[in-house]
Amino acid sequence: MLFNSIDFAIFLPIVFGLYWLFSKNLKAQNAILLIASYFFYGWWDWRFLSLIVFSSIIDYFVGLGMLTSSSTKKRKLLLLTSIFVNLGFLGFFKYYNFFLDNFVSAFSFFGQEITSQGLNIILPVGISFYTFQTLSYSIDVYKRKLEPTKDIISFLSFVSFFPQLVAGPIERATNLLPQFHKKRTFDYSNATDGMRQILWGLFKKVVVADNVAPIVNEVFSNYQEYNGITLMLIAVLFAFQIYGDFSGYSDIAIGTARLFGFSLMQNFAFPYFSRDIAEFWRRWHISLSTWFRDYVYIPLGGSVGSNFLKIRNIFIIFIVSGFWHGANWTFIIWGAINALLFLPIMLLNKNRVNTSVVAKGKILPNVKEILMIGFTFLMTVIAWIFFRADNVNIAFSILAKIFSYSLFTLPQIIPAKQIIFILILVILEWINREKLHGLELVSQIKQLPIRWLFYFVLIIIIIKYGGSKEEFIYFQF
Amino acid sequence: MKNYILKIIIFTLLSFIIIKGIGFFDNIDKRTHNNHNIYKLNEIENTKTLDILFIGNSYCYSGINNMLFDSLGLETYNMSISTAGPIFYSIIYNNAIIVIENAPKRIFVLISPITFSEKSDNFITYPVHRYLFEPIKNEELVINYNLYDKYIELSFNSFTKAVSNIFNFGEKHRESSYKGFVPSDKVTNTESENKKKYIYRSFKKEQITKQRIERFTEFIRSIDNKDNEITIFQLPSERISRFFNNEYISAYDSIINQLSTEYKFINIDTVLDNSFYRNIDHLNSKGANIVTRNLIKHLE
Repeated sequence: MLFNSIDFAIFLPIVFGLYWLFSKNLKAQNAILLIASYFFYGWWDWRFLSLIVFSSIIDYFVGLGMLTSSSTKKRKLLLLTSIFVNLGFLGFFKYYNFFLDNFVSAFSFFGQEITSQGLNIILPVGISFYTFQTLSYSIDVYKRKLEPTKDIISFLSFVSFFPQLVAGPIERATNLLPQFHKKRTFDYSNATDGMRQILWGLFKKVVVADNVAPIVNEVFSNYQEYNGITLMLIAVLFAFQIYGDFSGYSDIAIGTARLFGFSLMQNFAFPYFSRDIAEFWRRWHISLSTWFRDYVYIPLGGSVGSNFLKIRNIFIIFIVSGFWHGANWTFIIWGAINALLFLPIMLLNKNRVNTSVVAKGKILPNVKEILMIGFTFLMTVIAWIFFRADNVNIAFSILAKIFSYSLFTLPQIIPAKQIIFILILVILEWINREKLHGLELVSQIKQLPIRWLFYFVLIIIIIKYGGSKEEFIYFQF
Repeated sequence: MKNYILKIIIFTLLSFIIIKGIGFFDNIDKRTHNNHNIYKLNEIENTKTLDILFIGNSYCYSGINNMLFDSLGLETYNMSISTAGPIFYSIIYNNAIIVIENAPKRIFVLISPITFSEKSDNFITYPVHRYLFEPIKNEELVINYNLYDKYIELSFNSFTKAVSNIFNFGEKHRESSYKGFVPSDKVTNTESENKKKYIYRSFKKEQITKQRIERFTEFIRSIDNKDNEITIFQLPSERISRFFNNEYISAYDSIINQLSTEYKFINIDTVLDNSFYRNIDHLNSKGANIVTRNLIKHLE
């Protein structure tokens, strides 16, 4: 079920009504959420529900097994079972064909012709997200950071919680699971701000990302026909498409969770206002970055040790992160580029220089900040070309065209409407950059009619200028 | 909680009332609309007698020059609308015959690959239903044509159009047309075509659905049942055909083969170069003169 669909507009109020009808019965509320979440997921493809259920039950019993066992060996075995099952599913559904193709190519390179039969595998929606979420539970229980739950309904609801099931934020068991055990009370201001966040998410997704998508698709599919400046412009548009798409989804997810009294982690903190690449990665897809930080980077040694180890760890985390996004070399190179951009900052020990909000308390940034933001944005845009291109050769061809004389000509396409939408997004997010989302300050407008007029106009824009209904990009990851 | 739900209900109700209330004025520009697609729906009432009524889409109003029929003493009207497919055809035909005193007996219906495309009959871009002599309400439209998923968008569009009508936003110079024919002296070139090509690329994925074929044949049958002389005709279509996939085009050819056994069919397949086109696939006035003359030859 898409957030930007009529189906969801009907589904949400029904679940909301039922859920708060049982506000005094926590178990009933969790059961309602579980049924709603499975229904939400099954709306796409009910066959894959069994995958979530199986994976959740394994992790539930792994947790219980760890609770009752004091033997380190047995606990480790249980953890390995969880990792094997979860990553096994992910590996099969997402990476099987990639590894097979590369294996065959490698043999061909050495003159050995082998034939292979790739499988026609459908990637279950959200598998990369819920797999990581449930893995965090097993690892945290193993590390004794979290008491395993005995309440199976709460656990199943935690894994399948519909607002963030298919595209995150990837919640930690330590944050989300305890919320299923506590009584939730309806908080008026939290719910109204949740609605505002949903509205803002819809604007970013439907108005910005979906309007940009057709132009980006066209130019990336036929890049040979476009000059350097057009390709650069489209790469910038793609940067906003993926931001609008993914952060829009996160905003809708977080806002929806707030309606049910849940608090999900912030997933995007206005990343395009970052002054260096380290800040960008603290603000972009925070739930995934911190997941990799805590479960991969730190166990590898993090930034402690020799420069060789530091460099190795940075490359590992960025390349794995790239690979998480998709079984394609483009994502791996995208990760490696980000590692290369990050390395100098880290080796010079400047990766925590820009930790506060840019131009805090000021209306506009200063010239230095503008240059830093512009440079960081440009670097991310260049990396995005690899992320978006169908293959590595295309990405290099696009870059070659961008860095040619044709960069200094006129663009062949001027997407005026899309640029206006992006400007609205940038302005509103700049104003709200010290807040959690782009509409939070609207709550400070004292007069109700003005506030409502604002919402009304935004809804009109969303419906009237909503682009072609595109699936959320991150569903494929 | 009560306060929250109450406010959401009040907001939703207020929005609904405002949207529907103001949306009521979405067609007050009926007589002053600048777009030929819209004003021709009403302009036809000035026509008392008609020998031939052309029904079609943009290829028809670009390609059939009605002036050439005047010299033959034939009264014609080019009732063609952008993106028109079988649903639009039916609506605009019924709209036309309401007001013409001596209803035409010869109906020429244009057929082109785009007639069966899912991009045709676009009420969002061309809300013809508002501007008919007997306007069709958004509610009726969605029920009659199973457009439930478009209802909210249609309502909001009515609202925004009404707002611009009330404040008279965006008043523009009226597009010229002659009896529905839209003349153009523009000549296409490769550079301008390349800029627009991306709009057409989505056609490649389309398939002709059974429902669209049935709608088209139903329309033809409905006018045939009124003792009209029907001619189905095709204007040069090789330029648009290349944007569709082979399967689509062979399905389209089968439809033509089928229809040509039951009805009179004229195919004007003159191959014309760029100088006869105003853009990728639409003829300019020079092109229109050539193909209209060819069509007239078939009448003689």
